Amino acid sequence: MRSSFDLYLDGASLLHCRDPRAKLLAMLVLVVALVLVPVGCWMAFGLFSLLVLALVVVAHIPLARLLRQLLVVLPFVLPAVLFLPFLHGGTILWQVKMGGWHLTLGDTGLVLAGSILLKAILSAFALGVLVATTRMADLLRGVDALGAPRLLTTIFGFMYRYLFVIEDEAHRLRAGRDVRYYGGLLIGIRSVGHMAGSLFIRSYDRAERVYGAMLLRGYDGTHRSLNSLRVGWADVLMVMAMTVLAVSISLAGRWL
Amino acid sequence: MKILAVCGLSYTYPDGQPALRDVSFSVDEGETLAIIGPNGAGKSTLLLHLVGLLPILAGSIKVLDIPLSIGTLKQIRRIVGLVFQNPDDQLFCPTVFDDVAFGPLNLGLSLVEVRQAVGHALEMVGMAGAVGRSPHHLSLGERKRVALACVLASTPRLLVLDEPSANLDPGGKWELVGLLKRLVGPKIIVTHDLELAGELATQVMVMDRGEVVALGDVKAILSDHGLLAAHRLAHIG
Ligand SMILES: Nc1ncnc2c1ncn2[C@@H]1O[C@H](COP(=O)(O)OP(=O)(O)OP(=O)(O)O)[C@@H](O)[C@H]1O
Ligand SMILES: [Mg+2]
Repeated sequence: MRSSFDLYLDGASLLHCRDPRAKLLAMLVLVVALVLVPVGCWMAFGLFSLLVLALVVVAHIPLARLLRQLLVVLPFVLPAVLFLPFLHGGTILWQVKMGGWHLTLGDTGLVLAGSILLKAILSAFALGVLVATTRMADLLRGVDALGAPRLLTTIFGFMYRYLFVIEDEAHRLRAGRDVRYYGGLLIGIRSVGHMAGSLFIRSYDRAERVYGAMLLRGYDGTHRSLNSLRVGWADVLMVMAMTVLAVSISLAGRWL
Repeated sequence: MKILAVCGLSYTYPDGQPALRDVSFSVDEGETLAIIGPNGAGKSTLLLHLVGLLPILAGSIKVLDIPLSIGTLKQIRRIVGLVFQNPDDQLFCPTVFDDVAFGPLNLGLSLVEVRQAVGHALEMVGMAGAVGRSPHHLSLGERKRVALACVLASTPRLLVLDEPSANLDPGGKWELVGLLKRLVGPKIIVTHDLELAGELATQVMVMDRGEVVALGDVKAILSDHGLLAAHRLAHIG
């Protein structure tokens, strides 16, 4: 069964073959440069869109997939984007009176909201490209090699591994409920509560067993791992190209 | 020298559930002991004791004449390799390679030795092609093989398996039988599958309600239909 947590898309594109550290760095540079683009600098946003689109094309990622992933990001930005146009002044574009309230739509806020929305979407696309072209194991190895605390990468590794197991368990629990569920909202809500509790207990028990399995294989608190990453000239080239492009677009937007 | 000697082992879970009562048996070098018994007989509890994952409340366990205690835990876990019933409890790394390498890395082997150990262990269970894959993409049978490889990679002297054939299809089960036959050295196999026990074991121990109710030669015990039926291991009739 293909899980919704499976973010990697197998392939052999130029981006798939790059070292995970190089990809991480390049994406970081891209996102930081994007974030630094001044509000309302449409030309820079346009160029960044082209850059991100180029990455998507090179990596052979279906646009529909990226758009679907966007649904996860949007709930976090949409509230801000929806309210901002009404909270900042500028030229009044539209106004309504509601009782004693004035609801004013100003152009400053509108530009701000548009910029934030674009930054969020483009960053999400860039990260979507990163996780679609890099296996989670390699990504973690890359983060680890770049100096992130080992504890953090280890925990994240466990999380990613057991998300699938828990997802499976949740499916089984739900199937178990569905065959006995004949409707009724209250019963439905209550059964979700029971399922969450049961899932928690199962996960807790499993954690205990997994820890036992680790102890049996000599775990003593230090997480050892083999790191066999190799950087090639293409990786260096990619990071450099990305840095030059992203920084110049960002600066050009500022000065032109 | 016996590879394993268990003497008068008793255990009650913290919630008051008695799980082992005065269990005694031993395993010789070159012997394969099958432990059979109905659900809740205490088989898994016994195995957890053998590797020191549950504390000894009464009785003793000796591995190659070394008594199991806090001080000898590391040494004994190096000798006894336990394969869990559920491979998801045992495969906790992002890739098959990392999982199989986990034991050898903790033993302090060099990079070359680790690679060798991983390659060899996966070869043995016929999963060499899966090195770079994620455990969650493997089928249950494949995961069970990799879990076995994880334990084999640390070259334990005594291999202990908890229900290795549970949830395997018949083909998978017979592949497993073949694989275990090829592995030399003493083994303890907990199973509900009398066919598997008959194929692999030299000795059989029957447990029920925490007690050892019979222990002896494989042929003698597996042909004793009355005994098997009395302990829910065969169909009465
Ligand atoms: N963590 C626990 N806490 C309390 N009681 C437990 C625990 N684990 C097992 N038991 C109880 O101990 C007894 C023996 O359980 P055990 O799991 O060892 O049986 P088993 O022979 O392995 O059974 P099965 O064939 O079903 O795996 C059972 O009565 C069980 O309910
Ligand atoms: Mg059991």
